[in-house]
Amino acid sequence: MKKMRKVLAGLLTGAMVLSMAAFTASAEDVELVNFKMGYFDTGSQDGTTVPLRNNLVAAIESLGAEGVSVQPAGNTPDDYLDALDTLISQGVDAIALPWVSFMFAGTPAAVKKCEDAGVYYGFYWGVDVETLGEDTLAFCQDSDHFMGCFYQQENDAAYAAMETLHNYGCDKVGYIGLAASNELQENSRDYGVLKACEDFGMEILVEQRDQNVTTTAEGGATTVENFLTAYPEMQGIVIAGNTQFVMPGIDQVITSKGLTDFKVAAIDFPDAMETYAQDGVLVYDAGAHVTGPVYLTILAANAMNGTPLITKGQSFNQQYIKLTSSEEIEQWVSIADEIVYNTDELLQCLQVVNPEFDVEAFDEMVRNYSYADIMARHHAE
Amino acid sequence: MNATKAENGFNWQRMVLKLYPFFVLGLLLIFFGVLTKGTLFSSRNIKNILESSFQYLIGCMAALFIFAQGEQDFSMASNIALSAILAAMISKTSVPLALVVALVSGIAVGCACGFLYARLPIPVFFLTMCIANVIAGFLGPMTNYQSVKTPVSMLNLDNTNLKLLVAVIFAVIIYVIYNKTTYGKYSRAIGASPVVARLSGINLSRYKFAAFVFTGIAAGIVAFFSICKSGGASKATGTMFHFNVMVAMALGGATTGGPKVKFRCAVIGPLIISVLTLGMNLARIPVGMQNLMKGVLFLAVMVLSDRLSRFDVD
Repeated sequence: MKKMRKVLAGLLTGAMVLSMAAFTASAEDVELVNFKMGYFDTGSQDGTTVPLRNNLVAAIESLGAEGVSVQPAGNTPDDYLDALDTLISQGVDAIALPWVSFMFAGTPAAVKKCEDAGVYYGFYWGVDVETLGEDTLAFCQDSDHFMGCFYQQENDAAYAAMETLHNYGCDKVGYIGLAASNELQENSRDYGVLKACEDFGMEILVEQRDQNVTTTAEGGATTVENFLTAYPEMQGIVIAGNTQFVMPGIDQVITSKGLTDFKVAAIDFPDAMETYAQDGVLVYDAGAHVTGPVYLTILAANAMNGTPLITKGQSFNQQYIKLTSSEEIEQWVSIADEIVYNTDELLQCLQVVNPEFDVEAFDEMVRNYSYADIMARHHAE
Repeated sequence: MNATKAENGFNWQRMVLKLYPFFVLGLLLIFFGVLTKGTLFSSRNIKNILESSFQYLIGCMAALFIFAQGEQDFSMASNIALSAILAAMISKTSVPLALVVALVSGIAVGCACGFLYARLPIPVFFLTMCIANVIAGFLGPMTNYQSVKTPVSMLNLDNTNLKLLVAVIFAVIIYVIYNKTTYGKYSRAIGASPVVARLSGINLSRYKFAAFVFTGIAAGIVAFFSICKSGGASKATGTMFHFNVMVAMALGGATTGGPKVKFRCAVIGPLIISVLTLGMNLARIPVGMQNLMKGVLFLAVMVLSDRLSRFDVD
């Protein structure tokens, strides 16, 4: 009888193990659908484009896809539309569209081209779905191929920049940024800066928005020299655009003048940002908003594997990495070259591998993206 | 020595130098045709080549007269942006009226440039750059820093056959004026020597003025088809257009302006750029290598052009 029980227990355990194995499909067990993921590559080597490209390529490879890139002939919406035609002609199944390159002007045409070709598509670096406008939505609202929009809160990033300056005691600041625009009024960096001025009693003493000046290091140096001459009471600078160009010149002037209490907060990561942090000049930077195309690849991979995460294109709030002290900036630089989501993590975003992964989990992953999130996932003690 | 060779028989070197843009285009077609296993010649990609070269074909052909006069128009990009924005604004009322507005706006800016070019002793590149900046300064406030959308129905006008028809008609008109009328000849004469042209009784002001009317017309056409293609206009519309026209003209064989600028330069150049861009993308050449290849090709064209000028090929 005892022997029989042992045999039955053994059989039962074996059956349980087998059934568990059957329900927990490992990534190796699943044959992923190979598909072509299209994207635009300008060839730029700046501190935002390089990690964006590296993370996207890693995601495409991890999810069993093939990357197809095109280089637009120029920077106008027309150039990007021509490049989009080239991608479609190469038989891509899905495309990550940088909304900022199409601007509003080219968005309806881009959406129409993707719809006509029957490829999955979505936008990153842009707006939420509603802001695409009625004309565009008329093409894609009920589409099976529209994956949605990934947008970052520009106003939040700018607001946090100003808040950090305020925390450092810098309330009278100069502003360096892009040409005035209210294309995305409620979500613009300008809006965040103005809101912070109201909330913290800060003051913008002077602005520099001339693209001819803000696209060189020399322009940055000249600007800060002029700022300080005209407004000796200035305590800091907020850079809301072209950071990579102006920062070397600004850092040089501030350090050479020995202005230890003069601080800079910026948006977009410049090269050699650790140097500016070590100099004690740069105390805030928001950047590394490079994951939009990765998320679109995840959505496309799920759709191509027959388990679409979403049934209708929706908005996802993509995050900036916000570094709020010189120390944090230095620490970030040590991990900046890492791939944000490794292969195992990406495979767990596929429902065919992980049936419990759904749109809520996906949205949470997108919202959680931060310096702390990366440290917790990849550098936990 | 060259003349002697020519007298004694067919001068191959001279022939090659004369027609090298055709050889460049032919070699690119063969090279990328093989590399892409024929994909380059699919109907969709032929359409892509025509689509992407359309605006530069129009721009280059219109700029022929200015190039022949030894000058360049740096205001074309801003002119296109202004014309596109105005046309997009009016397109909500009437699409045909949008075409008229685009053309009138383009011609008006062209006339302004032409008038100042003809009347003021200011270097034309400087003059047109100033005008471009003035227009660019207006564009932001004029649009409230937003894009101007067109009715979605206008996207249906983005038709390759229609563009091809427009390009052919435009080409025939420009070819006739450039090669068969006194206007074309006098433009080249001005490029050869403005002083001699003036002493020969050519009304320089009139011919200089008219050259900019052509680029104005081109700006209007490009602006209209740009809003049909993208569904809207913004101050970014047409960015760097004048620069791309210059590059296309150089690749077509007109590295330097003046009387040697041929009509074929305006046709071959844009096609070379389109085939090169599309071919490299279809062949999946890495972006870094694409830039390298473009640089090498441009350099080769410059060297050939230098040889061309030494041989005095006309």
